[in-house]
Amino acid sequence: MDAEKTKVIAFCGKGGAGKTSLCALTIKYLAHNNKRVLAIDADPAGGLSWALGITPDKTLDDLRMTLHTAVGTRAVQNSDQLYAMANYELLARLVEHAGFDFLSVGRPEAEGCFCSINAFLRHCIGKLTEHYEYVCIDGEAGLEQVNRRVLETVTHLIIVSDTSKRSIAIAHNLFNLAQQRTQTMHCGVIINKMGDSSCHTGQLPVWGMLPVSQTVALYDSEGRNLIELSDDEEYYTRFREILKKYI
Amino acid sequence: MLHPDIKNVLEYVQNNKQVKIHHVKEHTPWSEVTHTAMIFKEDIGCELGGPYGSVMLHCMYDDVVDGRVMVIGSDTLQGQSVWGRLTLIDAVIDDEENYYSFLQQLTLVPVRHSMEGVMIRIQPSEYKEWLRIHKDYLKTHTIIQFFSRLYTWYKQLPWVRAVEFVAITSNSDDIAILVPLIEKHKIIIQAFEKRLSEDIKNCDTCDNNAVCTTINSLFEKG
Repeated sequence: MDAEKTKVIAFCGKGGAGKTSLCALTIKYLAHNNKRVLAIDADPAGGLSWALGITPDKTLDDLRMTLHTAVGTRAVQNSDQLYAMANYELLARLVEHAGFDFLSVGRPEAEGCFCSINAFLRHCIGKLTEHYEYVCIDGEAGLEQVNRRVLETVTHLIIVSDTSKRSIAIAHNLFNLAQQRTQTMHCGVIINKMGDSSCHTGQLPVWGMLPVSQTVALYDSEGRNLIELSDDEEYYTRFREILKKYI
Repeated sequence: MLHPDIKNVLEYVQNNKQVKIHHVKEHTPWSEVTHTAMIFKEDIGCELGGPYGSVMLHCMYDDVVDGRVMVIGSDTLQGQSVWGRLTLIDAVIDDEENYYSFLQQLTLVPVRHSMEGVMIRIQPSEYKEWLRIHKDYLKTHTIIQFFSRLYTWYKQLPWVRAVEFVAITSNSDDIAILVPLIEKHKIIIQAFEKRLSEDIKNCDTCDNNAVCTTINSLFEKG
């Protein structure tokens, strides 16, 4: 793979707006189109693994601790050994699923400074992502967590918001922050769970609006795998149109 | 310290296990590439080590049969199995710092180079190696060609005189044969690290005195 061609799509937004479901459906869409996809669950709550029907044994947090300990105890003595160890352990944490691969970031780091380990791990994840056409990241509310703990470069930032004023306000903040970070990144907002009422999005670049889906809500409440959602489901059909246009 | 143990392992293997013996010089080395491969699950033709268990160890030894590969288990590339690799190196070592540095260099050889259609991951501190061979290479390549390439890489190191391999693809009991060697190897490495990092002047007070004495006797043997 040409690293330049890897598209890194991160989903951010207020909790409960539906970013995890949309991230899972993006993975479903890309995998269905035979794209090589790496899914990264960067939310400590681990919602994406549920939405994809995956139970990861180990996380990148484990790896962060493993590397930290290995350096501290001199179990590795030079950068080549550390790099070899990280690549081995990254592969061991990769859940290789039909149609896509999956990595879980896990909990935030424990007390202490993990800056250098995070930077090193980001580099290793970056090298791994070069082998994929698409990387889909389900983040916490903001992009900075993704940048700090997963990948420095995001090519597509999708801000997910529901119609509430608070959610839209957060979307504005996230958009402004993203604009400050880089001008070249593609950034758009998806207004999710649209009911009958309208909402004021101001200057936000709205890529699309999606209705409330009882089916997706049911999948969510029952902890079911969204990969199994019917291709004919209207919500998914409409979301596909957005993805076709912007991704 | 390790010499008698290595000798015992080799004798045990030859007397108790079904061993297939090959020579790398009779095989064209596996083709080399400059880029590092990532082999995805759907493209795996053969997977050795990793989740199936692995042991990988490099040892300096002075009774190496250059180019010999002893395989316990299947010597065809197929399916998934455990992976044990003991590499014996006869090297020109003129001081003990070289010994330590050479061992580190040997361990990293498989990840500093790349073979076409082969993904190698190593975990040096855990003595593990994980191989994936792309399905397109199964019919045209053999495991001995893999060793032939490794042999070529090791022999490029100017201080390497001879290289011999023991490969295990049979089961976890067989790869466990190498575990006692690893335990002793770890002690040697720890002793080296302690001496190199602490610059101990009085060897009589050092915890690793016995290990160092043995190492020194190995150097005396050549």
